[in-house]
Amino acid sequence: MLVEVPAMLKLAFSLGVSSRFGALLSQFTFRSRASLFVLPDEILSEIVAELDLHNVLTVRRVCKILGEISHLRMVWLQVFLKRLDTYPRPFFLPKSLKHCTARGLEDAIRSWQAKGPGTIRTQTSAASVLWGGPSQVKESSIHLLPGGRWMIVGCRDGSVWYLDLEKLGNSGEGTPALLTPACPGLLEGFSLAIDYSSPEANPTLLDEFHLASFNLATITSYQDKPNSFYKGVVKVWHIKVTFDDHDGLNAVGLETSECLYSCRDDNAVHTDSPACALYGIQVAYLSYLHPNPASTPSTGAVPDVTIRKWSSPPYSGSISFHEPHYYDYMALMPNQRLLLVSRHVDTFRLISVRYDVPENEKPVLEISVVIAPQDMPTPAPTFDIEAIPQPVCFGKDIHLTFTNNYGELYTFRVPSEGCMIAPALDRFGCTLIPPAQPAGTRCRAFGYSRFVEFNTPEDVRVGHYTRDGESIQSRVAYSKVDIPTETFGELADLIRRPFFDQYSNTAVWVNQPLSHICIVRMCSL
Amino acid sequence: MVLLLTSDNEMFSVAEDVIKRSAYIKNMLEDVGESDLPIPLPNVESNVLVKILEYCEHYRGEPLPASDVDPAEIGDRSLDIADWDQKYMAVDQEMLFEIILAANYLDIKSLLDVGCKTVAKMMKGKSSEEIRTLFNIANDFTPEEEAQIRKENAWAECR
Repeated sequence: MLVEVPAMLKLAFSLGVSSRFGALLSQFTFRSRASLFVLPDEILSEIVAELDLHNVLTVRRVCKILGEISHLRMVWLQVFLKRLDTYPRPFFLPKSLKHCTARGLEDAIRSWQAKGPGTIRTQTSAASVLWGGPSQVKESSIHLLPGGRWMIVGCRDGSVWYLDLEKLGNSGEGTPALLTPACPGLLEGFSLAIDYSSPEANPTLLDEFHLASFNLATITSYQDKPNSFYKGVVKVWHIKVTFDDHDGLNAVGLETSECLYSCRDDNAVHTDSPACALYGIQVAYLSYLHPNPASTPSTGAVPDVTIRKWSSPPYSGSISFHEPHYYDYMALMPNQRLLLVSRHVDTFRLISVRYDVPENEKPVLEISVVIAPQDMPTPAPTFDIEAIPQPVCFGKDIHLTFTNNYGELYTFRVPSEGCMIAPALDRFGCTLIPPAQPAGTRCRAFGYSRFVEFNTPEDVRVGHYTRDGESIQSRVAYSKVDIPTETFGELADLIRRPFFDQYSNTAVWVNQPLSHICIVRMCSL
Repeated sequence: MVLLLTSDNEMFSVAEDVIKRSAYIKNMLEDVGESDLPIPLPNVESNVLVKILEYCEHYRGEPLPASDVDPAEIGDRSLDIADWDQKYMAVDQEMLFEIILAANYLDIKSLLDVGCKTVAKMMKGKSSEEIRTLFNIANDFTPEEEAQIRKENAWAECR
């Protein structure tokens, strides 16, 4: 059989027999075939994946082969993962990472990297909620869970409820589900803390950051009988929520709430402030060592801080210590650290204490930062805190954002990992953000680099600021948001403490007694 | 000792703990067991194998890296290359690519990484034209295609 030579060559090529000859031939065909291309595409893509955004885009323009490689998903996945810490937070991916295409990732990264105000799309919804709970809502005991979907609501009778903000009835009414029952006895006060980050809480964050399980602490103050001492009861619960949104079934609901721990504190606990914390096997709250039996304990003296180990019997001791400040916020962190925030007249005070000390010894004060206003554009009589600090946790760090009525904005990063060796409290700096218009009615919810400003139902704006190196660049972009005003009646009783969830970019305002909820969702893409 | 036969028919005798850095050879030794027969390496020339063995010899005794790393777990990847690796990689381009190919074939993950990083570092911070010159790459885009890419890139570049 006679086979023509060119056909034989073709056959040889297609079988890959004569690769060396083929390479030689291709060098002839493409005169400047570079030696870089002896490397297979998979290695070339590994190489390009080592580059950052700007260099990948440059490589794209070199030639067709590199151009194609610069469009591979694997390349953009690496670019994304490598520079994760440099993107403005919080950010959104178009889909969950697993399902993001190369194009989707590229567009997202390019938009994050592009400096300047950019645009923030917003979706807004306002809901009227017919509160189905039997008792009045306690203002300081409302939490928005990561994901921006569920709200935990504590009531004055000690019961805790959860509300699915996406499962409201036809007329917007919510159907709260009971998490923990009301406290028996004469209840004086109640506060609650949530732990969704420690290993002990065994939290489950499902796709789209929907928190499916977490720990919850309830701290109640009550009397056994009238005119007796006020006593405290500390309980820790593990909550599981079913979340199955597949096939449009929307089977969402409470699965179990299990009481893990219950303990009486013979001191009177202080429950007026939202300052209480739960992390791992510790719960921290405010209490009074020497209660006055005749009066309610919340008047007068500055409360102590108590840290109680709720787990691992037989040890169930507690540490109490006194600081001459009233704390508005506290957070338990890994490595046996407690972060306390207090405000006094015109200053913020941030304190970190190390409490891995023997029982009955005072925890070690590690860091103390006092923040006074830096710029005073106009003399103002008071130093008003606009936003009660809301911690934003990325990895194991805690970010705190404060503002005052001069428009000064402070963000702090409290690294939990480094606390063991060298206490560090990074102060990112302060910046002035434009005062709200009209002044006086504003109420801002802060996420990390984002905020939502609630002036009136007709005037809700979103903005963001960027951090450039060490200093915060005050680039604020306002975009107006449309809120259907008919859902809001009286706003006088709007709670001044809004909620912001950094995972879903959701800001939520509620009023007392939780008859109206305003939800603003921001989207950075 | 393990016997290796290169593509240009040179025989190398290598200590087992040195060459086990190559997952390919390590698996082969585990599968085949003790053998006096040389392992043929038809894709590796002797001058390249010398270089590869230099690398394996240098890292002899250091723990082997975990074989499977979830790409999602690779956090902060930077183009930092250890001093010794930098000196080791200071070879001409052809040898560099041969080392990368051999590392890929022999499945020496750490060497492949260093090789890729070295090439990436050569590209980093350069313009498209500089990269073309560096690697002797012809620009095979038509002016229209070039204009199109420039348009797509414009947003990210004028930041």
